[in-house]
Amino acid sequence: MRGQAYTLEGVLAAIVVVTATVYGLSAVDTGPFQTGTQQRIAALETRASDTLSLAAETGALHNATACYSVGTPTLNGNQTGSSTEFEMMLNRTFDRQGNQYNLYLSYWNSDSSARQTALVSQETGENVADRPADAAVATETVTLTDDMPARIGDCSGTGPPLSAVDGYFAPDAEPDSVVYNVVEVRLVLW
Amino acid sequence: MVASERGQLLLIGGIAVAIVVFSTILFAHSLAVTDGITTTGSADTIERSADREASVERDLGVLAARTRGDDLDGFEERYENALRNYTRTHNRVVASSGGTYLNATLNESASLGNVTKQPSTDKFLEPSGGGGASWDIATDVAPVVIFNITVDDVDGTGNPTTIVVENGTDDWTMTLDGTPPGTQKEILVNGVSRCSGSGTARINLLDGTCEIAGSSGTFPIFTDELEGPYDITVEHGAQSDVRYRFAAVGDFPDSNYGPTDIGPYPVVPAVDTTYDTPSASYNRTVRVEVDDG
Repeated sequence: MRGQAYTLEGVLAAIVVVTATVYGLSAVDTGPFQTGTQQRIAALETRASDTLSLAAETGALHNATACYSVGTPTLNGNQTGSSTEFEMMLNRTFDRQGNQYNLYLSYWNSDSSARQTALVSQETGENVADRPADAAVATETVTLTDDMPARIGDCSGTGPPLSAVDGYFAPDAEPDSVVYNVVEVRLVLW
Repeated sequence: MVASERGQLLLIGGIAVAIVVFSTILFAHSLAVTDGITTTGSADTIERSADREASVERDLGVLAARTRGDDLDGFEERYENALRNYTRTHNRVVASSGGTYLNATLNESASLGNVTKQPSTDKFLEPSGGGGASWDIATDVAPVVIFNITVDDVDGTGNPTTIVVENGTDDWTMTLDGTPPGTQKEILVNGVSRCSGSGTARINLLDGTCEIAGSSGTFPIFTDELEGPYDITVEHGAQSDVRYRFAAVGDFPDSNYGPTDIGPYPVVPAVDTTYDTPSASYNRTVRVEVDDG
């Protein structure tokens, strides 16, 4: 009789321990610990990545890329007053929230080592150098073809084909192909 | 306590301890798995992979549209060439930022679509010769990427040749009429005259344009009027002499076509892609949504 009591007590104790373990694990955050800075960077990265993805989906990013440096550029890093759809997205999402960013357009140029151009959200040339090391980064690529029209005005109007535009920032990387160049748009945000 | 009771107690106690230890191991393992998949780095890797794939698939669609254009012939070769140049430039650009190695090749066997054509003037009948009253070019069709008809002559007597596009609830018709018979033609869409004149009629059913002897007209296209998929039928095809090209995804009835009358054509191209990143390496075959935008 006493043996049965001990057995029952042992089983009950085991159940209590297992149940406590289950409740304990479900009550705590099992994710890795993050400092406040890491959480802030992660949030910025998500916003930057979402903004670029959305701009790519709607075509605003393509228009901005095909517009940059063509004629009188409207994509110019202004914090306010831009009429370019992509820059308005950046203004609304980041400038108005007190965030700053640099935008880098990387492309292929076999004839030169200059394969990147930068656009800053502040009207200071030093901003590129000022960006902190813990900034968030997001990238998206835009593929350009020879017969794609350059974008003019507020980047929604169509101009001549890219391959016929003088002074466009990216050269024809594949002259024997329909592919004109691939531009990687990198948004560095802090 | 007798010896048998003590032994029983020790046995049950041992089992209870074993259950606790085993359960703890299980929970610890699930904790490790949960920790692994909820790590910020892992979540970022998954999200970036999804973004990268979406971006590449958009580019593949743009390239397909640009290389296809209005020229049916040689699309596969042009697209293959564009994919080679695209991946080379893509890899050069993203490599400088520690990115991804990408390879993309056209997978013709996994692509969807067929093409049929009548390159020299003949009656608008089944390629196998039948279908005088009516015959199906294809059924359950969507999408259509090429549908051009060149009308050289119409009979002008009896019922005129009519192309009927149906989706189960509504229909769209194009009538190839002509009086007197011969080169005099009139193209009617849903009963409304859109082009007329004397000479060869060139009709693009997807652009909604027709042209006879330099005089052109436009008409509403079936893809705007009806939702797919479509059944496309030719009625009274013996009344006209035509050349045509038709490429689409759909069912091309075996009874209407011989083995050489239809061929594969990548209306919806499939592309084998390889992604090689610092954190993951994998292959995917994707069907490309051709983007004309």
